[in-house]
Amino acid sequence: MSIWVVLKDLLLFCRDKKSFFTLFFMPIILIAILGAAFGENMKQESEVSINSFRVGVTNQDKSATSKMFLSTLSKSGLSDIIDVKVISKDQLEKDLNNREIKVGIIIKPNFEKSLLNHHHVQLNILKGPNANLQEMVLENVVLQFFQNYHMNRILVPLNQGEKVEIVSDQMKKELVNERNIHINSQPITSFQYYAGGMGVLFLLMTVVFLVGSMIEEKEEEVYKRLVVSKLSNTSYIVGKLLGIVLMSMIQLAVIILFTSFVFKVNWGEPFTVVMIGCSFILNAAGFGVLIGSFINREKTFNSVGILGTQVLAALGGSMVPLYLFPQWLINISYFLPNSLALQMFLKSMAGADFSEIQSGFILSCGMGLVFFITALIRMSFERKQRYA
Amino acid sequence: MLNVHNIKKYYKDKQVLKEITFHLKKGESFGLLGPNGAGKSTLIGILTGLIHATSGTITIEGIDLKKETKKAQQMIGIVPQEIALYLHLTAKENLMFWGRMYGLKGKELKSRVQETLELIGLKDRANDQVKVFSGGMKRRVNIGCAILHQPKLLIMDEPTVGIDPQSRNHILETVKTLNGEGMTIIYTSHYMEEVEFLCERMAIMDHGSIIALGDQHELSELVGNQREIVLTIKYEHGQNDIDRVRQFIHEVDPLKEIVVQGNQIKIFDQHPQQLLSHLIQGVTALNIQIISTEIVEPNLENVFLYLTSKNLRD
Repeated sequence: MSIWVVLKDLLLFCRDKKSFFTLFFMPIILIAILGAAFGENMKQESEVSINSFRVGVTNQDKSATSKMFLSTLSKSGLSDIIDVKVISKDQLEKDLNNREIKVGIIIKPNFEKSLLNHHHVQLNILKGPNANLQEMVLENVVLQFFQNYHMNRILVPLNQGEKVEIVSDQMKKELVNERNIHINSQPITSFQYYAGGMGVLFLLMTVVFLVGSMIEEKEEEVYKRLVVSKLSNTSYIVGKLLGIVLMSMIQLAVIILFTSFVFKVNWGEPFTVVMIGCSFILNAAGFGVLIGSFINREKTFNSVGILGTQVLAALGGSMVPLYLFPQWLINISYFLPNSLALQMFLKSMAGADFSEIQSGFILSCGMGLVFFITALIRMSFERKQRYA
Repeated sequence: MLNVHNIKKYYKDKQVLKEITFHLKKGESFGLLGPNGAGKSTLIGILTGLIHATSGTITIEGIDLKKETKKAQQMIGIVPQEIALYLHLTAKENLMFWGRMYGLKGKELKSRVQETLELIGLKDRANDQVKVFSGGMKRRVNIGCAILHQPKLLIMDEPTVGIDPQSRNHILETVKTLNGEGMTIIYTSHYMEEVEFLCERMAIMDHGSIIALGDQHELSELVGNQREIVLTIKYEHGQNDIDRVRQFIHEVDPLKEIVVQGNQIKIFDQHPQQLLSHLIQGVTALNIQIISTEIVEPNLENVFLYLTSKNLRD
């Protein structure tokens, strides 16, 4: 019977011109207007590339690990961009001041020891003026090295005597796969970020709107008629959830197709995009239905919904880019449906395939199911309380 | 067919239904009357399985409503007081949807929808959205959705409120037809003539209890040989005039029950002529102008007034 509830809702939605316009044309119009206004700037920005830059390195450790690090830096997939120059500390400071090099690294005497003992790593990155991007690239390489270093140490007992070689090869392989800076990976443009952020925001609004309609129905006489009909509570909620998922999917498809064809936004691999969309909609719909199950008045829900959408949008990175948030806020936002989806979309836009967003996908679907089951229990309880 | 036994309902400490018991035979039409707040809607909610009774049992064709709610509900059709339809769907789409919600499908559903459209007289408007319908047409669709699955018991909660006489007549005829075909009907209304026209038996409820139960003749006998006197006065000094008349009657008979409705004063008495002449003299002496006087023979309307001291539409 759930399917008839879905079809009825779909029919009602299509006949309600205001809702239809708000949910399908509003995102298109907004994205089109802003795209037309800022599209050129964003296009120019997308064409900006990182020029190769010189990194000054002072090696005060002289250990095998520090040499390995230097070798990684020189021979990595980034050798086209990074030009490594080993120099003394004084020379490094002098070159930085003279702007002959943009960034520098000082490998301190206890670098290897600190890495082995998991202590605070003895390595400093020095940055010259206007070298934020270069510093970010270098930070990524360093972090990647640290992660791989510890990972490969686990392999050592199986490969005694070949420690350095193994670590080096493995690391090289890993660096080639470095996402954000690899030569084959597409950097995410502002417009891509904007399209992703807006898409997620509009989907969130759609879910709020549709759950609001569900609560409105609960206040009407038709709901009582539904309660006394053959329709079970579970069929009703499943029907409502399916309706929300279906309509949100249509909206997402409209947004993606529109931004892809008109503004050439690359959302990534279609399968991955669809999977992200499904997981987000399930998560957001479950979240919405859960909130809706606790609220019996549409007006209350709409007030909570508007406020909640704004807060979620702000925390989820739809208004301000996520990377500008402090780490603790990023950690929190990872558990918000929209933030999780946006992060997955951004990864997909950067070239990640499904396997790379799999954990986020599972988390998102899992959260949605937990929300949905909780809502089901809550509504069954409420129905038993309110109705015989 | 329907057995309602000792139903009680409390909302927190307030008792809204007190030991309601009645039985309906198959094919019977039963009127439920009562002033606003008497407990009719709560009783209907309990009969349809929408509201929990605090205690008591209800069986429909031997099926316990509490134990097998969905099974029992399948035998009920409910016509709520409000329009319980999707206004943006057409009459036909509404009927199809509600038919499916009651488990109808395929050819059976289609033929039932056609039959129902014919019965409610909306075959030619089947494909129009309900939102453009008049109040009467909406009410007819409202009834249609309740009878699609051919329920054994049809419960109608004031189905003719606020509609034109033509639609009202159509609805009454439809209900009469359904009842004639063997469907058991429970009908609540504020229009006494509707209940008189449709129902073989009726119950009058007040303050959560059934205060009278029987057919029209049995109920009329409750008034006994009392007759209703209606005295209409000119409303010159508003409530003050009414209070003075009330005071006068109280002096004549301190136990006399008086019902005031606007500028009308209604009293029941075994010797209406005698009391009326006494009243005319007294009221005239009070310098209050009498517009008209009337002695009304027993009917359902004044039985209701006699029992509840309220007009049905109050």
